[in-house]
Order: sequence, then C-alpha cells, then structure tokens
Amino acid sequence: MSMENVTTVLSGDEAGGLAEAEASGGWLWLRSFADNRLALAGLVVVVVLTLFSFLGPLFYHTDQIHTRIGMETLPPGTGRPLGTDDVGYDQLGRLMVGGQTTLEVAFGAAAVAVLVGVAWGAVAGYLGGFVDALMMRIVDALLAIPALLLLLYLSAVFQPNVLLLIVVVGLTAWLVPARLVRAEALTLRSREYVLAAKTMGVRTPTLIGRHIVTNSIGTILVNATFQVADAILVVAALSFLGLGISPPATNWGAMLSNGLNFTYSGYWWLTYPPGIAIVLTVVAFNLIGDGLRDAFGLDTRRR
Amino acid sequence: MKRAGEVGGGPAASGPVYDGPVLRVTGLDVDIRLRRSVVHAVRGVSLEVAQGETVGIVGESGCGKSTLGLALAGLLPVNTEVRGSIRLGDRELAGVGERDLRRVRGTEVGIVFQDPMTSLNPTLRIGVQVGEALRVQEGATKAAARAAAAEMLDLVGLPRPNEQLDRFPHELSGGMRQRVVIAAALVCRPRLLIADEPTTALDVTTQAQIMELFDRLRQTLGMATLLITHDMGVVAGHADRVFVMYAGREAETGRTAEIFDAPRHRYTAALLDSVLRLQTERKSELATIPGRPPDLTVAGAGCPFVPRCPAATAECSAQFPPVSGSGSHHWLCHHPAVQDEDSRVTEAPR
Amino acid sequence: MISNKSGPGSADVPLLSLADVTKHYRPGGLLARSAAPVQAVSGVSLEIAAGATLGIVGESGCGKSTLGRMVVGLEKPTEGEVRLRGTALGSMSRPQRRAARYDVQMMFQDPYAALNPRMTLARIIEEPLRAKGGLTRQQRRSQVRQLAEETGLAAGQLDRYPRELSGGQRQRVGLARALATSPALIVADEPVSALDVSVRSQILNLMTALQAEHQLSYLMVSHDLTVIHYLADHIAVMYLGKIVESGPPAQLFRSPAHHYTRALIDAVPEPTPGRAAPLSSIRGELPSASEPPSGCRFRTRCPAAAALCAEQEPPLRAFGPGQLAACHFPLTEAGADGSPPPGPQAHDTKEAAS
Repeated sequence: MSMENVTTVLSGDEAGGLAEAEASGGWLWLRSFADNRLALAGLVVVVVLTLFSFLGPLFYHTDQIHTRIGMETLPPGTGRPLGTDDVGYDQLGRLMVGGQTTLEVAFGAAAVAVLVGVAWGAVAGYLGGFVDALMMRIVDALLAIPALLLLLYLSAVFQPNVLLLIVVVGLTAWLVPARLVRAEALTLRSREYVLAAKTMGVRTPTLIGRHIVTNSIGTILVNATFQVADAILVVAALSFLGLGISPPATNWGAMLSNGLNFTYSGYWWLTYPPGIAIVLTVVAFNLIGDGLRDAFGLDTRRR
Repeated sequence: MKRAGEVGGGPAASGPVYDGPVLRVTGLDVDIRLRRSVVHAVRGVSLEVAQGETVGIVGESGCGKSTLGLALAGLLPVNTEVRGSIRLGDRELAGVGERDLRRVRGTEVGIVFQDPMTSLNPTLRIGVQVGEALRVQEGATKAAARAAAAEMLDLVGLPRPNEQLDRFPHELSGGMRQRVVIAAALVCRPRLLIADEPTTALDVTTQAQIMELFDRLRQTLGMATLLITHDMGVVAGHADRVFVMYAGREAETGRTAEIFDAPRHRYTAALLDSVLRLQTERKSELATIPGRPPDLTVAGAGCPFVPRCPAATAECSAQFPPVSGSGSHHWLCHHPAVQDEDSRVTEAPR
Repeated sequence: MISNKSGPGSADVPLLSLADVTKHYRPGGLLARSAAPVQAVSGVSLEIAAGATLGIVGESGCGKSTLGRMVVGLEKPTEGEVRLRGTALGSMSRPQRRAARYDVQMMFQDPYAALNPRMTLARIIEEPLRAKGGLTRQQRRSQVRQLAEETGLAAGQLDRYPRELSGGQRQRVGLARALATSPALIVADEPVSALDVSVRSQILNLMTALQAEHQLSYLMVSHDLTVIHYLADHIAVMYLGKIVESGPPAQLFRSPAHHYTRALIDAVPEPTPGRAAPLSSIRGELPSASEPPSGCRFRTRCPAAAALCAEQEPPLRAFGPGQLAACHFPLTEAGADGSPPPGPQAHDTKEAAS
C-alpha cells in the first residue's frame, strides 16, 4: 500500500510531515518496490535467468556449434540433464545459449525503443503546437502498420543477425513510449519548475533532459520493463514462424518452435524447458513493471 | 447565538427528543499506519458542538484538523486506527460499520470539502448530484429529488435554479460550484455540517459571499457547523466558538471573543500575533513563530509546542499540560499568557 | 503612466515600465480561429523604480499572473511594450534578451510545484548560475552556499530533496534561486499564499530584508490584500485585464475611489471578532474574458452601475496625489466627476484605457 493513500486524502503540508517520516532522497520508489514481494520475485527470476544464460556456460561446457549425428533426441540422463535435441545439441546448454540471444535482443530492443521513443515524445510534448501535431501524426501513421507483419517481411528478405533484430524490433516498438512520454511532457511543461528554468534561460535540450525526462522516469521505467517482455514474445513469434536468427545460433522461441515438431513423439524436454523459460521471463518482467508502477504511484494522483 | 427551533434530521430518530449537543467527541485518537511508522495525527481530542452552533477548528498545516474532520465524517482511509468516542446526538459513531456510517453521512452529517473542482463529478448533471443523497438515503423518486434539488439551489443563492439543474459542473464558476456542493451536502437537512476549508480555493470576494451564505443557511436551517480552516479572519467573523489545534492536540477552546481578545495558550497568542492584518504596519518586522511543527510519528509525553515556546520549562517537556480555565474558555498550557491592558502578551508570573 | 517614485531620487528612466501592454490569447487550433480571443490583459501601463515594490492585486481572471509572466519574458505581449531600463524587450537582440533575463527573475506561488522534485536543493539553486555561465564549479558552489545562508537555509540541507522540506523552506529555496543571478527585479507571484500564517511572516520578513540588502525591486502579484498592503510601495488593482485603480497603499485603503477596490477591502476577513462583517457589495459572477462587458468591465457587478457605464469606458483619472481610478461614479471626489483631470497631475497621468 503506497503512501499515496494518505497523501491524497490529507491536505497540504500535513502530508509533508509524513514524507519526512518515511524516507529521504529521490529513491522512495526503490523502498516501495522492495516491499512488494511479487515484484521482488520477478526481479529474482530475471536475475537468475540472466546469470543462468550468461554465466551458465562457464560451468557447464557443451558444444553448441557442431551437431552430433547419432546423439539426437536422447532423453535426459547422466551427463545430459535435459537430454539432446534433434541434431544432437545438449538441450541444457542450448537453453543457455538460447537465453543469451533472447535476453540480448529483448534488452537491446527495449533500450532502442525507449531511447528513441522518449526523445521523440519529450520533444513533441514540450514544444507543442505544430511540431507536436506533426510528430504525433507520424507516430499515429506508423502505429497503423502491423509490426509483426513488417517484421515478418523484413526477416524474410534480410537474414537477420542479433544486431539487426535488435534495431528492427526496437524501431517498431518505440511508438508506445513516445506517446506515453509525450503525455507526461504535456503535463510537465506547465509545471512551475519548468517555467522557472525557462526564466533562467536554460537551453531547451537541457531543459527537456533535466526537467521533463527525469520527472517522467517512472512512466519510462515501467514501460521499459513491458518492452522487454514484449520483445521476447515478438522474437519468439518470429522464430516460431521459422524466421529470425539462423542456426547454430538460437533463441528460446526457436527452440520451442523446433520442439513442437516432436510433440507427438513425446520428447517433452524439447518443448517444456524453452516454453517455461519464456513464460517465466515474460511474467517476471510484467511483475517488475507492475511493481514499479505501484512504487511510483502512477495509477493515482501524485505530487 | 441562534438556536434552531426545528432541527430537521435525516431518518428521524423516533422516541424522546434529544436535547443535548449535536456532536460530542471524547478522547479521540487517530493513528495513521504508514509503511514503517505510525503518525499520531490526532491525540486525545474532546469537543462539543451545540445545536445551531458554529465551531471553528483552527490550526496550521499538520495540526490534524483535516484528519479530525475526516474522522468525524467517517471518511478516513483504511490504514487508520480510531480510538475514543464520537457521539452524534444520542448515537455512537466510532467503531460503527461502513453501512451504518453511510446512512449517517448525507442524512445527518453533511460534508463540504475544500476544492469545488474535485468535489463534483464532471460527468453528472448538477441536479442529479444535488438530489443524489435524497434518492439514495430516503428513497425519494426522481421527481421529488429534482424538486428538492431545485429548492436547495435556490436556497444557496444560485440564480435561475431550475435551469441550473441540467447543467454540468464545468459550466459553472468556482463560487457557483461551491454553492452546489453546499446544496448537495444540505439537501437532507443534516444536523451537522462539516466544512473543511470551504473557501480556501476561492477568490476573496467569492469567499465573502460563501461565508455570508453559511451564515444565512445557519439561520434558515439551524444546523450545527464545524468550520475547519487555517484562516483566523474567517473564524473571527463566522464562528461562535473556536477550537485551536496544535500537533494533533487541543491547545485552547473558547468563545471567539475570548480566544481573540485574551488568548492563553502560547501557541494561540503567537499565532494571532503573526497574522497579517490591514492594520499591520507596513514593512515592519513581523512576528513569527520560530521552528517547525513537530514530527507526528513521535508520541512525546510533554507539550508539543515546547521547542518553539518562549515560556517553556522543564515541566512543559515532562508532562502534557492539564486542562485549565473555566466556563467556556479552556486551555492546555502550563504557563499561559497573560494580557496587559493593551492586550499584549506578557510573561506569565512564575 | 503610473509612477512608482519612491526611495532615493529615481533615475530618469525607470527600471521597468509597461507601455500599453496587451495580451490576447487566440483559442488554439485551426477550427477555433473564429472564436473570440481571451483578453487576458488590455492596455496596462505601469512603472517600477529601482528598490521599490509594486503590488498588483486582483482576483482570478484579472490578468495579473499573465502580466507577471510578460515582465519575466515567459510571454510576449500582443501589443505594447515591456521596457527594461527604457529598452523594449521585444526590440532586443537575442544576446541582449538573454542578459535581460538574468536581470528579471521570478518567484513562484506553489512551493510544491516550483522545485524539481528530482533535484537536490544545491542543484536547484545552482541551475541559473549554470545557465548563465562564466563561473567555475567551485565558484558556483560557494555562491550557492552564500545564497542559502542569506535566505535562511542551513548548509546541511543543500543535499536534500524538496520533498523533505516544509512549504516555507521551499519558498526560501525559490527565493535563493531567484536571487542567484543578482537580478534587479524579482516578480513574486503569490509568494506566500500557499503558506501557513506563521510561516508567511518569516518569508515576508526575509523578502523585506533582502530588498534592503540588494536594492531589489519587487513586482508582487497577489489576491491577498493584507500582503500587498504590507509590502507594496505602490498598488495597482486589476479587474478583467485592466487597471481599475492605483495609488499609494495608505491612500488607497483609506479612500478608495473604485467600487471594486472597496469590495476587495471589505471582503478581507479581519481577525477581529465582533466586527460586523460587511455585506459584500458586489454580486454576480466574473464575466468571461473573451466577452468582456461593454464600456466599464466591472459594471455587471457594480452596485453603482448606470447606463453610462455600459456605453462608455471610464478613463483613468486622478484622485489625489498618485492615485488614479477608472470610474464614472467613483466613491470619492475626483478632480471633478467626468471632467478631464486638472493641472499639475497631468504630467504623471496618461490615458491607459484603450
């Protein structure tokens, strides 16, 4: 339960005294977040999966480059905790490598989306008027293009690598943060501390960065976590349809899609591990996002 | 002091006619549970409001007056704890469940908040909102509620009330909106009206008009009023008695003239000294109260005003002062102020 | 022109002057072009001398905040000029205007919204110095410390965030920030309205002290007459974008000529019990600023309104030394009712009504 419950009800400085009682500095949201068990669980899951994917191979060595004929679709046993896949790769090792790609693309795409979207939205919202109208109509137009179809087309035409995938997925996802930040900017630009900065002659780019963006950080962070979750799903969807990154690289979505070919053969270790990994990660990021939203009190009126 | 002949109540309490104070609060404590601490917003407050009387609750930010108002209206958030007694007429309200409270609110207790912008639902017409309490509480028909709403709007001084019924809040000015809020609060003819900073968000000329309205309504409807405000001027002109709060506790109570002409509690005296008036000498050094109000999460034993009081002693820090005074004028101060002939506060004799 | 001649012999050119300043807002959008403009400020002329305080009083919708913003440069007048030391802001080159910016700073009303909640106090006060440039980090730091001390902030608080401070402390920060560039004029928009009574006096004392120390001028905008009366050397009363009366405080309050001024004075809740609260003499609601009443804008609420008031807008006329009012049927004697102002005061007066 956030402090906003009380602050919205009590007037003026009666709440100011309470704020003092609670915490100091601009990191109150961190404490709120830390008190949210589900959100913390989400964070733990993400950290564990990240460590698993990136540090796992240091402890568990498998060959993820060369296929091994004769070792296909072996069930879990000694030396192979999760068995092997249809071309002989060790499944557990594959899960780690797949995780690396999945997480890289997800984080990368989210970063691109957020950076581009925030910049676009902040500038549009702050400047207002014709510039704002123009910039947001562009966003509206781009939103009309179904992202997945665009990605399908691009993936079919160009053989994507990780970097290209990051850029492309990011560039279809920046529209949402742009809208969100623009809305924030519209509200913030008439705040008195922004006016104060104007009267001091602070230059516009500095003003936007220092006053508008920093005070939208709550919205931005929340959206960023959902961006990561969405990116994972998009990459999984692409791989599912046979597009995306080519072997020997892989990602969880590709592993899942591959494994589904063998559903009726009963090779459960080919489908469940990547499937569960995807679900866990997406849910974890959603929980983190919800937790951040609560911590910043974004659903209620805030000062 | 006007006393109402016929006080309209909500669903009338049948039985012997109750003759005592409309509101009697005894030993009220309100604690607000925060994540890591507890705020003692109100401590040991006792007060009474007689029929037809207006009691002004004054204090500065953080003194607990708004919390007190919310407690009396039964509108505190879930993370609060209330101890003590709140008697409305002959009925105890503290500890009463939400369903019963809801019946009391609107029919026997009317509430007016500070901000007329947010007190009204922007998507509902005025007539609907004013008549809402009648329909919900007394099961009135749409037509009856509408008629009653029109009557109330007329009573609060809105021009052409029948036309206003179908307008939306955003079509009205701040002053008119506040009148609508007052109409909605009084439509069931409650016994008690709680007004929390009703004029703070309004222009000064509108404020004067609204306060005039309150006076007029008091004479017409005879309800008791609890006027919560930080504005000493408003209280001076419109309250029969004054209840001064500091750090969640009572500091001083008395008839308006007693409080303003002869304040005894050091805080009351200092507060009155620091109020800016038209008579204040221009550009002179103004009296202030040094320091800040105390942290309400600490439930100290002594008088909370000690750090800022010019007359504080060890006794003041050790023990919370008992009630002194007589008749209608009470104060809780170990070393109350004494006025000299010019009504200037001097040091109390030790 | 309304002179604000107080203090030591003012130079020929006043520090700040407004010449027939008007601000009309066009409602936005391509489709709303034909709608009537909002006449926020119409034909206002004022002067402020160095070291003096001009108080503008009026209620919501009177245009005083817009006026303050135009003086500070946040808005540009649609007509008329804002002149700093005789030079119109509009005719300045960009670098000149930047320099002018530092000479006129603003102090805001809402202590909770005036400071960026994500910046420490030190950075908030430092910001204008960084924008202005020309100082090393060390120099800025020491300036900030000095400003904090001058405005009564403890040095240890400089690393705190606004949410940890009370309203009064936040206003001190606002004041320190406004002082950072050593301005000649500070526009104070309702600087104490959001504060507790006892804190108000602290801030007002501080403002008075700083004025004496730095030879500051204040343009004080407020709806609170007691504050204006206390601080201002000269007062202008605004209603619906126009100045309806102006003059020195003592005179204005003793014998106001305009009915609106009278109503404002009557409406002040006096903390004196037993004084029969005067019945408010004005009634009705504030007219829309996009469709102001013809003739005298106040006539729809004025107890003394007559047919003439709807036909002809009353000009500002003299009513005693330094006092001007725009009313056909004023409360006190003018030079004469309805006739042009007599001799000696003509130098100081100017028809400011458009």
